[in-house]
Amino acid sequence: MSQSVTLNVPLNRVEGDLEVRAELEDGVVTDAWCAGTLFRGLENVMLGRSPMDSLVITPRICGLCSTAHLSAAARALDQLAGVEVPPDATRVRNIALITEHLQSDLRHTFLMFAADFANPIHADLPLHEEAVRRYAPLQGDTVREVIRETKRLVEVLVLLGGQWPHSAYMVPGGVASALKAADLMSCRLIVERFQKWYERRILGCTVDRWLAVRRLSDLEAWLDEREEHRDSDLGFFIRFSRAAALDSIGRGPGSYLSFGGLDLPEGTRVRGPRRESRLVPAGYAEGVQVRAFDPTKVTEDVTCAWYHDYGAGRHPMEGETKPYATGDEGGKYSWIKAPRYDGRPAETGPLAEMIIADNPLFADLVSRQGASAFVRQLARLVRPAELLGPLTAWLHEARDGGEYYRSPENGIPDGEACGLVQATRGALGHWLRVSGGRIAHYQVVTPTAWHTSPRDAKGVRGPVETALLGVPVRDPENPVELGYVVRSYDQCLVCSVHTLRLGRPLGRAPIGVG
Amino acid sequence: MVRIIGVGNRFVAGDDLGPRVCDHLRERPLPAGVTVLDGGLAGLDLLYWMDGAERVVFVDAVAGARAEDAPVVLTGREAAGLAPARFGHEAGLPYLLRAAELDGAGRCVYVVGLAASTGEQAVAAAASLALRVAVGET
Repeated sequence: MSQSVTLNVPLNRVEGDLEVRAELEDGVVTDAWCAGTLFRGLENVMLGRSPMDSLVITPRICGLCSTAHLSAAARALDQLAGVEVPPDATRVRNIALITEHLQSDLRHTFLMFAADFANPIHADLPLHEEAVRRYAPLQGDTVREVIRETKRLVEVLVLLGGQWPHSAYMVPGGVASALKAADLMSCRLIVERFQKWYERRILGCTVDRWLAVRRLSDLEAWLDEREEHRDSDLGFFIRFSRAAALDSIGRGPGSYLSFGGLDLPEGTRVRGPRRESRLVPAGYAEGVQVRAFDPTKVTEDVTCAWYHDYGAGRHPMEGETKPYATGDEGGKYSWIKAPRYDGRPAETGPLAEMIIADNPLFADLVSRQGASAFVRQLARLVRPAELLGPLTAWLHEARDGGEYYRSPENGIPDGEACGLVQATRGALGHWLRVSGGRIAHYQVVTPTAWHTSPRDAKGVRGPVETALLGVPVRDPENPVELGYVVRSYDQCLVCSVHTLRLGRPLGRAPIGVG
Repeated sequence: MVRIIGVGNRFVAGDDLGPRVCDHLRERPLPAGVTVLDGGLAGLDLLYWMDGAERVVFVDAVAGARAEDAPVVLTGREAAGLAPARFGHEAGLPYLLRAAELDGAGRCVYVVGLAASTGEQAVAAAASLALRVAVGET
């Protein structure tokens, strides 16, 4: 029997920001469409302004990823100004970005993704009762701990930025804050405490023990090794995901993209994979075959997005944001453009980073079982284990009285530049052109645009649309399986128009605990 | 300590009420012990700024008020109750308020709300109301 299911996926501050429509045939998804339902046009707000305004405006694109946007904007201005960022400033930028990753990875996993483990649809699973005890929204033991422990991490950003929220301390040439020994000590204590908690509660072992898990067989051995491993939130996540068959849904397009991030500062003892100059390498992979990243191959297609058509996909330096909500209503269905790499959709984020960095565990998992909602979320959950070591090292290397800023000799000249980073959710790019001392062009391509993109001119679906194909849905009134697949990409659509609504909330039924 | 926190995005029309009220308040002399914070889009991170405050007054856009230009006051509990009954994944102000209750700090929380698209006079009135709530006059 053919059936259409529309999901309204509540993500952050807004009802109705991402709508996913799926068609089912005999309880299996046969087609899917992702639609961003809001136009904001912050890129157009940038036009005619001073280039330095990008440091203030673009972090407001997203409340969860504001450090990443600040970082991308600053990086683009570094390039334009031709200034080399001093090593201690690079450390501060890296520390801030990693802190944002740590917070977000754990909040997303346990407040958003695992909330569905407590969904009554899983009541037939032996692990369900424990899932409710751990993950029931705002009640579960793990949920309460995650809220408490991630709250403290904010203080690192406060200390680094000297002001928070809306810090704009990353500037062309470095950072505006000059850290003192007491600030660095405070940051180290916060991170040390966080790591102890992450090891005890989330991993059930030390970071080093987890990093020794290098293939699927190691993972099985790790699970069997100790009760603490099985009962940790990581161990439980693995056991529950397998019981709920999350390792068999949400494969996606099989192509992965990383813009690369976390530059290794001169003199650091931190080492990146393959002798890279960055901890997170840039690259593009099909399956686990990694190729070099070429930034000229990034394009955006608006064939199915509500913008004036401009033919084939354009590089963001040539892209436009001209809303066009009337006309081809049958073909256009989203306010999100369709980013493509070398003409193909690609997923980005922690799993892509792991594959492109040749992480042996994730290369093994994807080679043997393919990507899935489980593997994608697992990569997010264990990414902090990869990052805590470098974070601690950089906090110890940064110096009281170090060089945190080099003034650009010629200010911000006219020209073109791009700031490419790995945000928490994946590849983030800012492209700008400055003319006559003013911003003449600004385009932002976010990780969520990569993931929730609509179809392109060739009719090729975006990654989430592709990942939904073939997913079995047990109960169309409670399509929790679709929620797992969609959320495994960790959308961060909005932080935008939002109101409290007195009276009955409008909008369609969200996926959630009944 | 009493903290007034404006919520919203000052660069997005319709979501800028909180920051606009903060701008108004910064032009005024504030009673001792009252601080103002443009909380922007910080979401759950605003929990950090609720620590140590006996009273927190959020200012945010509210839809559905009877008179568009008249600000309303909700208790934190009332605002937290605006989350959908089938709660699952929301992370807006109601979620923040419910998360804040978990630490058992027993602080007084209020929300001053105003329709999103209102003129400066109404925003100034919301700022005055937020101040009165902050000092316990309302």
